[in-house]
Amino acid sequence: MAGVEVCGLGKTYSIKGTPISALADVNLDITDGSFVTVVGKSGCGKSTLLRLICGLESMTTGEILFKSVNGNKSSVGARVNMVFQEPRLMPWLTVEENMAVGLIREPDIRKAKETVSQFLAIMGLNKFKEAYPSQISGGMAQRVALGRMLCYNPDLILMDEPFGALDAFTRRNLQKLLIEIFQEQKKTILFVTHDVDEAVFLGQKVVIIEDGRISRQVPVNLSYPREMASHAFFQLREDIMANIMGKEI
Amino acid sequence: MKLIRGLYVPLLLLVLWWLGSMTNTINHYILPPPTEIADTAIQLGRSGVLLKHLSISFYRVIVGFLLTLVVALPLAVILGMKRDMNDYFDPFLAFIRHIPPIACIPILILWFGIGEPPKIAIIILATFFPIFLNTLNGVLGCDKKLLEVGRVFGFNARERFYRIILPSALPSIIIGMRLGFGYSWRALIGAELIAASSGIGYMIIDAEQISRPDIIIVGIITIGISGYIIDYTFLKLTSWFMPWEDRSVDYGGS
Repeated sequence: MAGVEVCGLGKTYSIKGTPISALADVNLDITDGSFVTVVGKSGCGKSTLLRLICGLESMTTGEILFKSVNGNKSSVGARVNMVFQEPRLMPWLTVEENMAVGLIREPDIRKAKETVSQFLAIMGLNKFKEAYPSQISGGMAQRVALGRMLCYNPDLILMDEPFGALDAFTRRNLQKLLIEIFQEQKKTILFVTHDVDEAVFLGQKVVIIEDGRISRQVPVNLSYPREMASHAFFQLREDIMANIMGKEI
Repeated sequence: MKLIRGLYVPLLLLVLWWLGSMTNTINHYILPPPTEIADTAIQLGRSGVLLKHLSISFYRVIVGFLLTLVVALPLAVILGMKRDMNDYFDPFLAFIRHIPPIACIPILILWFGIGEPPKIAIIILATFFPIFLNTLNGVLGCDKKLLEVGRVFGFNARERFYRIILPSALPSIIIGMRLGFGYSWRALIGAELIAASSGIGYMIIDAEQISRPDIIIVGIITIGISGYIIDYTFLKLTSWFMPWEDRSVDYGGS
């Protein structure tokens, strides 16, 4: 388990010598075991935030601290894992083998196998465990990617628009599945999306990013599972939508 | 069905050849009739001459091919992993690449005599680039997105290489080996035609000197069939080694 504290985080790219600021002065506190969603328009820097937290890119300014259970803060040592927009499965491995990618260091092979079969069952992939990624649909492939991440048992889960490329039905199913997993396994999740409905449906807190800065953080005090047709849901959603759209007019 | 369709053209040519010979339209000295070729092939097969020459040629190809693998594979992997090394090797390799192996035969004979070494050297020259370049492209073309997956799962350099880079380069490596084997076969026959005292190429050039067109044609057909078998074997190996390739069955929707 780990929370994460982001202080004064900034990232500047250089394109042909011109500095482009992708993120500036981002301060964010994600408490242990919470589900935080990040919304914003394309190119606002939300993906960069995730890539910085999991170390795929290096930050220009600021600090990222992972908080352990006993309150210690450290910039390293947390098990962080990310689910990307595309499944990114290894084409040469079967569904089952792909799920086990994060378990290569597990010394106890029997335990690794148990973990994999447990998550194959949760993800409803038992029938397809011998299949190769080219043989399964996009929704199933994304399930495999989710299962692969869960087998790895990370402290902090980062998700970069993981359901963005899926059809509406598959997307809704996976959203519900993710909430069930969140409630059962008490994971800390940071979930990036451009879909306001999805952000309010999933998150306990919605962080709005505009032009590389956090413009607002909205707590969502609705219990799971949430009803999208409810008045409270609708109001929150309209509020956030207006916040993002409003400044454009 | 596909197999049967593939036999139509060769059978048609065979029938035309046979008819031409029967009606004496084709001079028997220039092109002996197919029946005579078959007789010669059986004779050469029974006496063990064909097998002797063929196995010598095969032996040369395999030795040269394995030596190439030992050199080209690691070199391509190292250059693919350490991009700045490319600066040192690229111009030289680009120069060597344009030299046909056959053009080196005279100098190789001066260096090594006419024993086995020049033939094996020819094969190395012929197989090196297909294997090297395809492996290099395979390593360089590794999907950055998969490498990122390796990073988020905390792979070290060794795991990254064996679990991501190598398997993703494998299809290119096999294509390189397949091309390389084809090239080596051609280059070897060339070398054996010029300077050898054994091998299929030698059998052909020797038959020319004793005016036996039938043996020449048996040699040519043997080369074709051997090449076909080698290529087919590689193709089978590919699907055996890489079961994830060439499967397009789709179980689910979307």
